[in-house]
Amino acid sequence: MSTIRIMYRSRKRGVSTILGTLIFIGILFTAVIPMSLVMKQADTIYEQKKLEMERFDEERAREEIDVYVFPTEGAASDNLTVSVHNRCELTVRIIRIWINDTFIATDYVVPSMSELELGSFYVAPRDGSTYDVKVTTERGNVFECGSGTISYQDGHWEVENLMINVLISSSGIVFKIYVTLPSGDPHPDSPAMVWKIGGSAFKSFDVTTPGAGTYNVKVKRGSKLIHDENVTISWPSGPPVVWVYS
Amino acid sequence: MRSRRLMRSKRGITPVVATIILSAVVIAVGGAVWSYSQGAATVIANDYVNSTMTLLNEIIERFTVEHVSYEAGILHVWIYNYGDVDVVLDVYANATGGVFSSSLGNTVSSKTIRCVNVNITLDSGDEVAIKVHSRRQNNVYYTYYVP
Repeated sequence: MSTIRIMYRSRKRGVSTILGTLIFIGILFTAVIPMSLVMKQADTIYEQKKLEMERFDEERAREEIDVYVFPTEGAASDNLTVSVHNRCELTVRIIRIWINDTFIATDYVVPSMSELELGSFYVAPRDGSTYDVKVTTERGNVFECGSGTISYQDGHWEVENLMINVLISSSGIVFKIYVTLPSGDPHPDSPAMVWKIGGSAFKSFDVTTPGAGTYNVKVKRGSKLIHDENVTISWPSGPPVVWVYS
Repeated sequence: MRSRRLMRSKRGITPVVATIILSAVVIAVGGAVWSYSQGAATVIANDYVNSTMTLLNEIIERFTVEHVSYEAGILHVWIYNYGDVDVVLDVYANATGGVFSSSLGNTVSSKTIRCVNVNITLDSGDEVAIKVHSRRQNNVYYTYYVP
């Protein structure tokens, strides 16, 4: 008889423990675990978006384009053409072109390392008026015209300077740049010695006085010729600035 | 013998009732704790998600001052929102000589440009420091020289 009672009591004691355990497991699975999952999901979204924005900012910083403007049909044209040279490894989308204080909404895609002429854009030029041109990219960068302000004087377009820009990224520290004018004479600044600082060396040659024509640019590292290129400045039928990359 | 049997069978009722009552109490208290836990967990999770999303919007908003011009007492500040969320912006303009003006609560939708006009009297050659402050505490600065 006493054996039966003991068995009965021990069975009775287990009911609350089992129920309590079930409730605990229920709370764990229906409240705590979903809560931690939701929090984890929010954290994941946050980290993912943060990473995306870091990439976006990096891409934005890497965007690099040269912008030049020239009259569309010769020096007396009423229209301007904007030349864009994409010098980065990313595709750039041009969404706006500013001419002074007004903008033209556009949608041009400039592939990596390629050039594109945008326009033409009618500006109704008046004598003595000046035009500042810049372009906005979809990533939020604004690039101003590399040749400065373009002006309209005495019935024709003028720029401040005609330039040949030489950018050297080749290995080495000291370089000599030789520029030969269309006449065959050397440029007054030639040969120019440049030092590579921070990954590249840059030298600009003013060719406003010789004017449009074909120039020869040579780059030497020591006695070794590392670059030889003929470049043509065709202003006012083309950009007033040309770039040589070595 | 009969009464003994009856007694023995009666003795079993009280423990059964006690077990039922105890189980009912455990279920009731457990259910209440369960319900409270679920509610608290939901509130905590929602608060956490909301604060995370607020912080997320703060880090993903992007805007820039694209162009500034001045004409007849009005400073035109063109702001381009190149981010993925709409922004509410306050524009402050401080010019040389202590001239100050602002334009508050300007909404710029995602991927759009908006011209914010700030009434301020400036002279040619003045330097204007422009601060664009978003309601999510991000700032963009721009310096403009009046032509």
